[in-house]
Amino acid sequence: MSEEILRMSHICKSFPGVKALKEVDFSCKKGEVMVLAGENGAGKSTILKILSGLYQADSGEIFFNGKAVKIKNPLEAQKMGIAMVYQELTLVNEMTVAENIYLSIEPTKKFGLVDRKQIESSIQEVMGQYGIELDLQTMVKDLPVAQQQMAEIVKILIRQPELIILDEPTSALARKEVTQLYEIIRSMISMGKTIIFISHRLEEVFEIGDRVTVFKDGSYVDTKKISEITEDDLIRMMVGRSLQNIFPEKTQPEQEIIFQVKNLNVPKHLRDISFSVRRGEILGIAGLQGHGQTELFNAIYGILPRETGEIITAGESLKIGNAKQAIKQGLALVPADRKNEGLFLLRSIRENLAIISLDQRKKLGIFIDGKKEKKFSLDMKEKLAIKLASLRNEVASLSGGNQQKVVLGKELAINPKVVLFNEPTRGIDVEAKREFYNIMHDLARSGVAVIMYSSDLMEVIGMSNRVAVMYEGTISAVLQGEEITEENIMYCAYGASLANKGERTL
Amino acid sequence: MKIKSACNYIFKDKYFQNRYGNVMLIYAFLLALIVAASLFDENFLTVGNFKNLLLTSFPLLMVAFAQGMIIFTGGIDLSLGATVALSNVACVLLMNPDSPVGFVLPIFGGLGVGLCCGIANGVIISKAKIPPIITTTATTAIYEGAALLLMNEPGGKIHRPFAKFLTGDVFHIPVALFLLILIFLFVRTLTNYTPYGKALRAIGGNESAAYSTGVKVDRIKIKVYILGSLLAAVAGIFLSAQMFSADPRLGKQYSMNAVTASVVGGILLTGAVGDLMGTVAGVFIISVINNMLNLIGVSSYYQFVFQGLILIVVLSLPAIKEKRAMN
Repeated sequence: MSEEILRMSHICKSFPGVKALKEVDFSCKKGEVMVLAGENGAGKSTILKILSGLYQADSGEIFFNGKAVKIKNPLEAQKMGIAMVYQELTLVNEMTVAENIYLSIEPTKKFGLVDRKQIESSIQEVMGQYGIELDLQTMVKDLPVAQQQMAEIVKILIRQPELIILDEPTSALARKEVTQLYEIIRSMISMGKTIIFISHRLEEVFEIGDRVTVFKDGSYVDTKKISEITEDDLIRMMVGRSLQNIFPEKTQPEQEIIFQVKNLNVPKHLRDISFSVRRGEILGIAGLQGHGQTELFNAIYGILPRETGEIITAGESLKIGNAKQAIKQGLALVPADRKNEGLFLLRSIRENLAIISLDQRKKLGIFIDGKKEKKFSLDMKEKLAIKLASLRNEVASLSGGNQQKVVLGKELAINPKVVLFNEPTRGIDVEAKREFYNIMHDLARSGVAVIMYSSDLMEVIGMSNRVAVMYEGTISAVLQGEEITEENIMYCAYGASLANKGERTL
Repeated sequence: MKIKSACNYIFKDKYFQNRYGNVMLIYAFLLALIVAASLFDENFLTVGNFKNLLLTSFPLLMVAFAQGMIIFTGGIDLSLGATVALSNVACVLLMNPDSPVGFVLPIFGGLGVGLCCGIANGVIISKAKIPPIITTTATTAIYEGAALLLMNEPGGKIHRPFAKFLTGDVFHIPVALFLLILIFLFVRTLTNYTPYGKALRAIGGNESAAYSTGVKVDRIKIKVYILGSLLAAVAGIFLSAQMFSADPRLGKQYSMNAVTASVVGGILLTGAVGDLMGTVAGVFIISVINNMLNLIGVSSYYQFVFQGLILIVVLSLPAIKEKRAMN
């Protein structure tokens, strides 16, 4: 337990415009679960990608098993016994699970042919060892995300590394699979392996970690034994602020109804959905993943064709058949997948901010008025406090939280009457979350109808005046005030009604 | 009963369906086309015509195998046609019709040209990171120019026994067929059953994933462009025997026809997906259609129009399928 397996010292790494790591130290001991914590943009993924060979450090030293090493690419890291499960999955969709698991290390038989039988039997063996079940001949694209994550983990296990890096492995997993992953981690530890774990879920850190190292803004903060600290201690180490005041105080909404959805039906996805939002109100949508939340937003926004359903703002029924019409009539959508659906990653921040409202700044009917665009994007930057080096930089150069602000900024340009937030704070750090919550709160108070879906229950509870819980494509309950508790939401999310719950507990 | 259970096994096995479902369809289409052609024209279903089909298809088959492998990596090589022409010219220029071994140097010369073209493409694409479509457009101009510099109009002298052998028969079976089977077995085994083939597809499916999994992306890409250009050189050498001369301008059609054949044969332009078995059918579908048009006596320019139409139809099939699935 005491032997040091890894020491990284004085690691520096810069990206264009950003100093990602400043003289950072990081080490871990053989056989422990080391949690690396910190806000997004703190440099956690960066240092681990240096360790896995994906990035090269600008300066600094790495010692692995007591020897100074240089890791030039992922292949070298693998040969040394270091393997990483990245945040973005590294599976090839068009290949089978088995092919993916053994990619680049396929055993061969005569004439250099891949030995499919051996591959299958050794994967089965490893899966049996850890109690994992996967259909090896399925194409990865046909697997649900959670199973893809498991395949990714088997892919690592089969390479028998000494040191395993897991970068937010649970973000795509349901509760049951998370528990299974914990078991896998524990059995890896019992086999003498070492694990480095990045997580944004606090309870996870405390459930699985032995020690925790905290980074902030690319610098090392501290390393502590998990058993000796509390959740509040950890938050304070990360941001210098405690958990309670992350959500703005809820305010009482007015009576006036400003947005309404009536009898919304989408074959196979949604049935009989009706709800309304009052002035100054934030309506939370909750439910287990895949029960129609994203489809609900897409149907309102005109991306998904509706069979029936009326959408009403300010007493007026809207005609929305596509996103362009939705925008014209004052609807805004902050999509869950900002990198693919929300942003043009390789274009400048300024262009991204201006893209939806281009028509408002035309010159001579066809040209873009550069001056107006610049002023507009500067205003938006100030308003949302977007941290950036230059508006001309690519959006991709921003941290997750700031990217999300750009997504929102471009939507706010049309002065929307309704904003639909789908997973507004996924993958962004605590500080950015707090800022985002304040922005949402202010939006609601200024008379915009705010509707938010999040898989983070604490967020839904902390932000919403009312919570609509979805189950199998319909709203199974609307909770308000004191009713909004974790327990009640989960109850409705599993399709039970609160009345039944009362009976059962009585 | 046994046959039935075997069929059940084959058609219900998920692995099989994933791999060969599309290929079977393509062959069914080819078969239908052949039946239609033979009903249309009694001359179609003759040994002579089939041999003719094989010989005219051979160069395109080589280039289509090359294009298919490159498309697996998510790339494309538009310079394959120019490589065919350049190696064709080099091969003929090196011929010594008077010496009994006057065909040995031309073969190595032709292949050597292919090797150089492939190295250039591969290194520029993987090391300088210039997109394949741009790189190979540029190298097309270079290779074409080089071919014209070496020989500004069709001509040259050919080693007669060499040409006779390549286009002739052994034991009543065309030499081209032997060659085809040999090369086909090699490239198909390589792309379907070896770690190299898996790496090709992994790169096409998700290049960064392949890299972080430990695949030597650059090296594998360079090799596939080299192998592709070597196949193009084989086509060029074969053409010198078939045409009994060299033509610096002959290559133009091959690059795009090979893309058409690949796509018709079920290879996805987005990379990773497909089987060179389908490519064979793809090439023959194109050849049979051209052959039919020839037999009917339509202007050969219609062949271009037809190929364009086929390409559009086949490329739009996935979109149509998706729409159906949605409804």
